Amino acid sequence: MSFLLIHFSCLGRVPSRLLKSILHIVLGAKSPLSAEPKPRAGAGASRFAYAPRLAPAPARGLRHTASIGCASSIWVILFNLLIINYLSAQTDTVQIKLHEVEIYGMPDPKYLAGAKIEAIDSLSLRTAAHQNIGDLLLGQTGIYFKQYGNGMLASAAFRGTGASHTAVLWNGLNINALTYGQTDFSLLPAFANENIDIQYGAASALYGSDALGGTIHLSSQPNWNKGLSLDYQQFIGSFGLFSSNAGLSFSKRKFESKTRLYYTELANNFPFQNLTISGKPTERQNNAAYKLYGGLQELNYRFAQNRHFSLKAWYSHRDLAIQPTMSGNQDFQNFTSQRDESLRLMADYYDNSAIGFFNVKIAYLLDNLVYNHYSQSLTHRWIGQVRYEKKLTETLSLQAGINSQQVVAQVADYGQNRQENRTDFFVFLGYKPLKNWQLSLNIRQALVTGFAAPLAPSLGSNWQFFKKEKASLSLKNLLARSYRVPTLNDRFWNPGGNPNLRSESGWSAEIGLVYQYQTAKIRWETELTHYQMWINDWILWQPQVNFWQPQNQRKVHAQGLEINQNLHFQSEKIQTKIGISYAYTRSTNQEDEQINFRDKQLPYTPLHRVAFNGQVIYRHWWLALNWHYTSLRYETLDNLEGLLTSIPAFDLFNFSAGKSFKIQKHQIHITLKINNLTNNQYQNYLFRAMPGINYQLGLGYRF
Amino acid sequence: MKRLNHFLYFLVFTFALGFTACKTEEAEPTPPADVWVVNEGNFNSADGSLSTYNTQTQQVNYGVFENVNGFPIAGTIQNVALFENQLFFVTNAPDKVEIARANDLTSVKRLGNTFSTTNFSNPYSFAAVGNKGYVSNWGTLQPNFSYTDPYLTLIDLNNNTVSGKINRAVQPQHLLAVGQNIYIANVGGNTISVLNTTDNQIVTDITVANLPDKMLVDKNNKLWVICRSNNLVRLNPANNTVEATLAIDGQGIFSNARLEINTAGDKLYWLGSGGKVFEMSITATTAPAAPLITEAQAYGLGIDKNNQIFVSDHNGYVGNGEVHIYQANGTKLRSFNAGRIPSGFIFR
Repeated sequence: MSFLLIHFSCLGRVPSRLLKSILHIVLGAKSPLSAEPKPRAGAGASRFAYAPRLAPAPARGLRHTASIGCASSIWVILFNLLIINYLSAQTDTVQIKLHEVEIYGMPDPKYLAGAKIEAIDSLSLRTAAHQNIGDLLLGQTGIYFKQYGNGMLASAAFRGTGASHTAVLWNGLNINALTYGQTDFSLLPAFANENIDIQYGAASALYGSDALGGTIHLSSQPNWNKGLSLDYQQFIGSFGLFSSNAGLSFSKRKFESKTRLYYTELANNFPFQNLTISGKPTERQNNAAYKLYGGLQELNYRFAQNRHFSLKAWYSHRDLAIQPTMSGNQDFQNFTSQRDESLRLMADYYDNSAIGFFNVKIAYLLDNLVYNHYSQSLTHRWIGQVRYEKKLTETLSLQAGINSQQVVAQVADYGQNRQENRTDFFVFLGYKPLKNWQLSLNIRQALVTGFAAPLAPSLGSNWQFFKKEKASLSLKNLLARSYRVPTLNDRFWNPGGNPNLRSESGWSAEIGLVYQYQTAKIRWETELTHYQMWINDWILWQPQVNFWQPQNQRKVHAQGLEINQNLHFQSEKIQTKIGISYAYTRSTNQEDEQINFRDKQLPYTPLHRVAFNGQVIYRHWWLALNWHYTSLRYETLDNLEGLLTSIPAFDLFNFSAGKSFKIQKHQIHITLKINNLTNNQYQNYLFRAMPGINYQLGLGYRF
Repeated sequence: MKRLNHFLYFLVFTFALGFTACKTEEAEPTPPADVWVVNEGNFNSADGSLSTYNTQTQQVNYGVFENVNGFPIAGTIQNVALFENQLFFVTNAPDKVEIARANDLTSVKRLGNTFSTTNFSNPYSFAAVGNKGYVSNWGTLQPNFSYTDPYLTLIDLNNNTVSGKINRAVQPQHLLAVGQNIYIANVGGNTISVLNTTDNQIVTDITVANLPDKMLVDKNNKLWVICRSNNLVRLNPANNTVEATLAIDGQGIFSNARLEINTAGDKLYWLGSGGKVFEMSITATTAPAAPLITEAQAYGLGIDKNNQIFVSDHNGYVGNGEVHIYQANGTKLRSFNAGRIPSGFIFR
């Protein structure tokens, strides 16, 4: 927040002519500076901006800083550009153009044609430092997150799919737990991540298993020559919130070190109305406290302009008391807890030369979940990935690679240690037959010890069929096959694990229309998407004679409509941003012996979701209003409405405001957040209480 | 600003769409019904409920308890006992006993745990003699999912308060009142304990087969025990001796060990694995090999006054269950819908 304000205040000092030309560049209007940079002779794909460039395309924040050249004459312009980019960054949620520049966590846009991608803006990220990504994305996007209480297990239901149908990638590698097949979004604090990008829809060709409903990208990238900087954020708030977050980074021409540490604890003893007791008395929530802490360390070293090496480490720890149902709030004998630990290490090498572009990754991921201090499930993953990319002609690019993982699972309930290898081969083709038409053809084959995963191709198209000076219209199409490899629990749980399971697989087709309009002061973007998805062999645990066993059981058809609307007004003093996401999701069970369950909406899949975000920035002040709505969810597959069988719709108003001060190099900002402003009593998951109105105060310091 | 207007229209449109989902329906008043279906509920959601069925009108009503009281039973229902016009819902997760008037389901009292008092620890079953109620408790759940320190909770039925505890060495399951005694099926072992309610002392332990679970009394006042070791044991409560042990062949009994008897008290019914319903005369000397009915997802069993066989169906646990009604000869009559995981019946 503060850097935004500071830079905004800088704006006044920028000569207006320069400002205008800068705005032109930033907003993508025609300007000599915004001409596409020519690739270096013989450099192959200009994917990595190691070579000096004249002007980077619009990007969030620091992303393209690697492209800053050494030519001192343009330094000033570029510096200001950067400032403006901060600005534009704050005001953008959906900014597809971003990805014209290298983004380390994601593939090049050449291979993403047809995909809908949304970036979480840095203001939202910064003011939510202490929040988990589940809460953040529920407020910012149309994606539904099922939360088993406040700060408890949060799983995504992306485009009407299940909890394990969202791939979560950390700098390009899937970090979903192999045991239960999903990421608990309550474990990921917003502060831990520089960038969060959301890719909608099937993307198994690009990312492999789990990418059926969508993909969440968590990533960071090197920033050279930034000197020393510190970012400290402290939050205190209702129900014993205490959150300290510190970032320290140092970078020179060739070396960068980034450290992020976070610690959040919440007593979580909020009052709630107990609907399960006579007279609906107000009680304090018991057994819901947690402590979440961790740290990230990143070291980047640049051998040369076109070669760089990166080491990343992320440790995370959480002690969690598992929030009981409302009726169990006094039933202390049955209170449960869990501990989550993970360690993620990654070494990354990038080399961009005349031969082509190489990226080699080696990673180790450890996940450990200890339930009730007793039952441990520990998994280790050693991952190696090699990617090679070559620009074959001016219009055709190719990327090919191998990802190989060695998995070791030490899970008490498997009876024995399990070991397996998963190897994926992939080829991506980006083809640009016309200047305004981009095609992507991607294909992936995964081989897993003991069984086969389906071949996953995808074909995408991005066609800008209309363009005037200020407005443009693009048509997106995407046809993809996606799959999910059964989890280790599905296959090895004793008793019940079913080694004969097939991978779940699905086909999806989507069509999108993007309208963009921009002037120096207004920027408008509307994206309308319709998708259809058919998932076969959806795995469900079914009762057997003596135990439960997963089976390739369900056939699901999901279809939906998404509207993303972003509007920015920008004047010299006031910036306004309005973002609206709407998702209509109809996801139905296709085949069932029980006629009552056929053609019914899947449980915990709301038909409607709306997220509204408004931000106003005026000088050193800043104000944000977030409203989101989730329609009724059914508890069961027969879609009966009632106290026990459905969870009522809920909406939440969250308000936040802030101000920043600058004393020489030092920036101080204060933030006040009021969550659930209307004090709604609501449930996300059946009979799990959620907090009413609550307050959070943040104090930040930066230099 | 024309575009802004468009945008506002869009806003309104979007919100209007969102709000169409907010409709709710009023619950209908409960008509008199002659079948109460006990719906155990999903353990994770504590959503056990009572639904009703009218055999005349075939009307089904859901959630009748919460419709009367404004709050749900709120637990996983292990057992419901009807005793002197009071219903005792024994639930775990959370551990409690919900007491309601049987004629109109009005809540009388909720007996549960607080931080200062532990009244129940994974309670399972209720039985009463006179003004003394007894609840079996498996004990405290340990991190390794075993139970320790089982006991019986005593309830003073004069004022529905917890009046004491009787510690047990072995995990108790079903309780059955026979005369002045309470029979305790020690599912953690191989005995039935007989408790004299006048002094709350154990009269005797009768060794039966392993893992005794449910009990009932037939027309000859003989006590039948179904054991998870796939045995049916007949004992005589008059002298507390075992008279017969019948092995149940095949794939054995269903894990929740349902045992029922017809109105005349001369035919036993139980659930075998794989949804098989078996019928056996109380005079039989061997258990039947062939089932009377096969209902793949059978979960609970009940025999009404007309000897119709009610088989509840969990429907794969993914939605509300249903109930299938069979004639005494095993011919299917009809089915009706129930609540989440229907597990038992009370016929009125």
